[in-house]
Amino acid sequence: MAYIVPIHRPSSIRHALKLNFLAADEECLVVAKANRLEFYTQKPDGLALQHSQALYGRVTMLQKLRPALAPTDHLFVGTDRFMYFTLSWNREKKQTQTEKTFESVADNTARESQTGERCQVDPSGRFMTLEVYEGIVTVIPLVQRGKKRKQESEIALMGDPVPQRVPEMFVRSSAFLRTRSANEKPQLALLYEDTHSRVRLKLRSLGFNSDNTAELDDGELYAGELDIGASHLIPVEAPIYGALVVGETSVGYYDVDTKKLVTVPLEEATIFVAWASVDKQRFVFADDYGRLFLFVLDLDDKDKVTSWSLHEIGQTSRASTLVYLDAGCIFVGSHQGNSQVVKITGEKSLEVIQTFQNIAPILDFTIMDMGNRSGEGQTNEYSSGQARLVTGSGAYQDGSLRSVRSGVGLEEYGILGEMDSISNLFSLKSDPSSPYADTILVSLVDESRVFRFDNQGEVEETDQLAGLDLAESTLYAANISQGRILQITNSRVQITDIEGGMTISEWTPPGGHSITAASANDTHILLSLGRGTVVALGIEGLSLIKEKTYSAKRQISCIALPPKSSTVCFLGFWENSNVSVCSIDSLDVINSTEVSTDSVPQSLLLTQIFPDQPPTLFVALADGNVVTFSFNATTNILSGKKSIILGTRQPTLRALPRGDGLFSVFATCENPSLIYGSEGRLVYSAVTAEKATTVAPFDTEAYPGSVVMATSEDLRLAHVDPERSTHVQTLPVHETVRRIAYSPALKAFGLGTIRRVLKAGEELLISHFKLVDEIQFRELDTYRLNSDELIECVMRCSLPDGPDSNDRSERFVIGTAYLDDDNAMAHRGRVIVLEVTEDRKLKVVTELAVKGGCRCLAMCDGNIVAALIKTVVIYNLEYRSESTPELVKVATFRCSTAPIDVVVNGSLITIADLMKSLVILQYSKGEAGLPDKLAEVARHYQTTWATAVAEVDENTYLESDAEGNLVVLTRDLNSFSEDDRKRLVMSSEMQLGEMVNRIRRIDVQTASDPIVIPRAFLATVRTLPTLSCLTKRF
Amino acid sequence: MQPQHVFHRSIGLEHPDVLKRATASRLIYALQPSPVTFTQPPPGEPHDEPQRAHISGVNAIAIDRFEGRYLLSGGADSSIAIWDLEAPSSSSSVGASIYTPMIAAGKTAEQHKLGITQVCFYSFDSLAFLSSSYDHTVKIYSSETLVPTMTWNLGSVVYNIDISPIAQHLLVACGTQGPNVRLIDLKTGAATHALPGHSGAVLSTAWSPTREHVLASGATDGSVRFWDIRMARGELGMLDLEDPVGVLGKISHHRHTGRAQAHRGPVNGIVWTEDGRHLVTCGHDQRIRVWDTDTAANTLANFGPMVRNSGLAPIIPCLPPSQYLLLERDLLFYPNQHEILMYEMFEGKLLKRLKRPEQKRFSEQTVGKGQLNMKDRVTALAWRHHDTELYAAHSDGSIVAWKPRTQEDVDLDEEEEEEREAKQGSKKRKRGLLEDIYQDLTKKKITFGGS
Repeated sequence: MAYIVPIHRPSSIRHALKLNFLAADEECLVVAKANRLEFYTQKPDGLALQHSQALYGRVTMLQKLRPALAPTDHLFVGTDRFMYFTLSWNREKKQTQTEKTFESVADNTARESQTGERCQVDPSGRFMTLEVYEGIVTVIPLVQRGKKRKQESEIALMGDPVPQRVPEMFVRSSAFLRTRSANEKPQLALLYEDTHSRVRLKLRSLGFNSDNTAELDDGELYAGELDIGASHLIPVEAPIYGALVVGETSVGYYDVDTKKLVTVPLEEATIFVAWASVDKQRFVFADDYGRLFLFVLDLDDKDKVTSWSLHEIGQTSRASTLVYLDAGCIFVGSHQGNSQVVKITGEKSLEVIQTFQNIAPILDFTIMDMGNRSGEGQTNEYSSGQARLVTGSGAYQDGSLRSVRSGVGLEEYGILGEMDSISNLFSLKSDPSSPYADTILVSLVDESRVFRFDNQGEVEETDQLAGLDLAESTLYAANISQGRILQITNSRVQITDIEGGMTISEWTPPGGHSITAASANDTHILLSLGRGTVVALGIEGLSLIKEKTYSAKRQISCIALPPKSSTVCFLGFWENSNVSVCSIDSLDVINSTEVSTDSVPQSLLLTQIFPDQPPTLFVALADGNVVTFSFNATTNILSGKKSIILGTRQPTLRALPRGDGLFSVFATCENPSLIYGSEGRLVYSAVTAEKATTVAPFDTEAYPGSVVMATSEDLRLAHVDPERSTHVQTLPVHETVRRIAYSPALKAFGLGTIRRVLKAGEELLISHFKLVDEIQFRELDTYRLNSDELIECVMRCSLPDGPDSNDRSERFVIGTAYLDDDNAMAHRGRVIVLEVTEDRKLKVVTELAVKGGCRCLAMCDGNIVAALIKTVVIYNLEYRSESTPELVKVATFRCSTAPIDVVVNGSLITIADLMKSLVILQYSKGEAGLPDKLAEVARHYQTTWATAVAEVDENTYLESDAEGNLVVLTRDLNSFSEDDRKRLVMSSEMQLGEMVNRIRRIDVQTASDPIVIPRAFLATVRTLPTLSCLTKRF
Repeated sequence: MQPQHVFHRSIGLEHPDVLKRATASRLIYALQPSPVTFTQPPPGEPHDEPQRAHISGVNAIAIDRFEGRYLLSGGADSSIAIWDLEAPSSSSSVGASIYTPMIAAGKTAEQHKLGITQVCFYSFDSLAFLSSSYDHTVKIYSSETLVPTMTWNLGSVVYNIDISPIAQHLLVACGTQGPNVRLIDLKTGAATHALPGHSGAVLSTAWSPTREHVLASGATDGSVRFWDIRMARGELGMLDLEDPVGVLGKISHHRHTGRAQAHRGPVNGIVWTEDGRHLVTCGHDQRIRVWDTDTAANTLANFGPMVRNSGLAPIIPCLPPSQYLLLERDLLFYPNQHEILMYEMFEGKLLKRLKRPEQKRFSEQTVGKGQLNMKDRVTALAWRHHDTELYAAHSDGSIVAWKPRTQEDVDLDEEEEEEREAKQGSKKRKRGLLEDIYQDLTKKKITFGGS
């Protein structure tokens, strides 16, 4: 079994729309990010997120609808599951609600539209059209009020969809033309390519026929020539009417009255990708190179178009959608780069007001560390959320390197002092009237120390404070009412006055017992004296309420009091690992529950995690588990047991205030975690504080909301984020970062990049291999490939240094393919071995021209495995002469179609084929002069358009395909039949809905019997999820 | 494979289908005969030479559409065999694999007295299949045992059977020598339902892939009729080769109902396109016609003068899956005597003539015994589902696999050949050198000239 956990939400934007969704008088922007809808309103400083909604399925279209009786606009959403529905906003619940689930229009036999899915609403509001399949326009009548009185009560009026077959295939753009009167039939204009690759424009009228079903008429074809690159059809509003036909080399205006098209060539050819209308005369266009243009129609006094102008305003990300917001602001939604809000500030200038980070599309990534900076990708299973990945994101001019780290961020302010073996920390106020704490009491093994902060943040150690006993280790310290401080040490409990340092009251355990554990709240103190004795004291005068000694069999393991005054306390017992709710007055057990079968409770903490819910009791067990219960204060019952494993040692728990009377819990063990409530659930998230042994909240004036944190060597002041987030740092490269290889030894990245340049109207792709410093992200050297040569793969490896030496040194190997399909060329790609010199420059060691492009590279048994088109070849780097090595072919294997990804484990080479799923090869060195052999050992006999593969476990492979499916394939080596051993069998599958570009295996150290082992990271075109494999079968 | 398609797919610029269609259609255009042999050794005597798949000719083949793994073949001598396409019994490095049947039933088992006319797998799994035969019977078999679980005797030659790929009604449409389309209900075992209308033997039937009650049939009277099996009043309409317009929206009740002809001669092949929007028919007038099923109009695609069609046995064209082809560039493979013609379906343009190499044919001498069809003829075609392979049944008893062999494959083969030669060459040179030395030592040198 396998399951998947996302690290980063989808951030690529393909669709956006402006409508009055949230309120009738306020426009809002709805943005579709893969399977998530986000609603923004415009604020002076940019867009503010108002609501976010996840959907089942990826959004493929958005449209605005205004049913006659509705106060606000409804949102029509289409998904890639062919499900369509309308949403409206419920003001009371502050949620979206489905107005009409519009059944799927899926047609298994029809072909999906090649040119994108479109949805248009006729300007008179009578019809909506969907173009989902080639050759089919689905018409949905939006029955108007008055036409059919019976349906008036229905809020979202939508008729049944009527599929209409049209002979027009390859529709590039469609639009409803504006009509002069409401009685005119709406006209749907289709810009399409016919079977002879000519671009045509056809206008079809849409109306009800006699039996009240909607029907498209045969329409009329525009007879003239159209720009071969015509791509967009833009309806022009009244009173101008007509439509613009925007192409690569010209812009034309189609006049509906004269049925003529006037075309004016562009000064410079470009590819327009998106448009938005500013007003009836002005439009903004965006092109493929990220340029934004303003297009203005000039009119005569009869509102007839006389001429038009187009000029560039400035540079943005490459837009997939444009929305004109207001006051010169334009939302640029982008799939390839960051989305932006830009403001037109002048004739030819614009300013970026707001940027929405976008990590998509991720072409490749590398795992830098798994949260413990060990560098080898080794870590234990508890910190999967803490890995740092570096991704190659974006395309062309928006290409960038992004460093992604997820988890709760921890920012260290500084080290307060070096001291070892800190056992506990307490923050105190020396001024009881101040809202801020200013003193830290550090409890060491045999003493306590006190540090005071002034309001500037300067810190100094004081010898004494308010009569605190510093000669002993402190078990508990806190400010209590009336300007007093409560301190509990091993030998006594004392309450002192802050002002004078006078001891107000004191209690020492009878009979020379020492106090082993303590807990206190506003009214009570609970002490454990060892040997099963528990003492309850009242705060006032430290009066003894009850002393109770439990039998030798019932040893106390931990104690706790509720944070606020209460009649109960919590005791944990060794025996049966029980946790009991006891009355504070009698210390008699009211209720008892077993928390674990094989461990013992070691620490207890009751705190308020969720608003308006009973508090939560956390029980830390000795084996690293944390068990939580919901505690009902009226019935004293513990319920809702949940358990999670945080480490292998007993975690210590500390509540950190989050504000509004809520707390989160900081658990310190091998990998510290922050436990907090989110959307009604407990969230356990790793914190970037590897060495923390104990923490305490420390809300000082100079550093509000911070914590003090003890490590095994020192004491630090830090800030902890309230919850988990993904931290992304960006380094713009302005080229597509297609491949990343990271060399820890060289402390450098090897990047395979692709840049697009326009030369005399022709698009050229230029590939580079760049060496980039790890820390400064500085480019050290660049190796340029030939023109028309595309970088396909980059690998770091170690190869022999010289003819005789056994030394191996770090090398980068790159594989390339030539773009053109000219068969006259003998060689279709290259394999190049590069070394990094001492002054960190690239130098070619050797190169080899190959007959097919080199798709991927891997290392197997010290040899280079190169997956060429159609073959997998094993090359050995041989030094035939003293200085220049050569790549010598030692073995080959013929693939089915074309290899797309290669993974090597030992001598097993797994190849994902473009079309034919997986094949596993065994490489064996030739013995006694025989040549090396490459033989097929197993295969997955299915047609799968694979995109990536990883070996996630022994004989277990994770494969992704182009349709967004993930499959886990296993090979049963224990089977008796040879056929079964040769056959990969699918053990689980899921539809991710996103195409995966790269799967990287991670190796984590695990305890003996973990339930879940994280196995691989996956990067998709739109987002970055992580995978965990469940190894046990239930 | 175009590197830029892969790159554009990975950045989300192009839909993954673009690469898929481009790659797969390139493979389909590169179909070549592959060195794969289907052989069924006759029981008893061991043979060195590979034998044919069915000794007296293969009449019908079908491949299961679930896994694309099992090939079912029926012979002219009523033998039946199932082959596992994923498990060749032996294979060599150059892709020359030899298949032997997983399970086979020879004519000795008295499965059919006369030859098989058609085989097809059951609609919803590959564990059962149907066969029709010249001996008037239709049988349903269990694929695992090859034991017929039910036999229907229809009283006349059954030329063609078809079972709907989508319908739950489990009706098998049978084209028989009589003028009725006969329906066999697999649920009840009844074979009483008949659709009267044709005036000659029904040679072909085909269920619509999208509308479960719609059936098309073609007969020796040259008509192609549509039926809705729920309706009592007979056919829905018929195709008229002289009607290039059709009736918009509905299948025509044509002016001259009952006389409209789809072909000027017997119609012995009908196949629907996957989306049910078009129907392809073949007739003895040496024509292939493509019809728009919405309007029943003849699309007037002209397939040229190469088309040959004779005999009453079904000649059914094979349509590769359209998801593997560029839009509106659907292909059609037509079994034309001894070769296969590859056409563009809507234009009727002949793209390629697929002929198998000479040496592949079994010569007359090796055939010798057993009755043999006089001429080598392609009798049936089958597309391997989920793949880009075409299988052809031949009347000389062989099954030929057509697999893609692209320019890259050719280049690689050449390269490998060169390498092999280079290796052998170096050996030869060595041997030659040794030979020379040996000759020098043993033979006396003959010199001319005076000395």
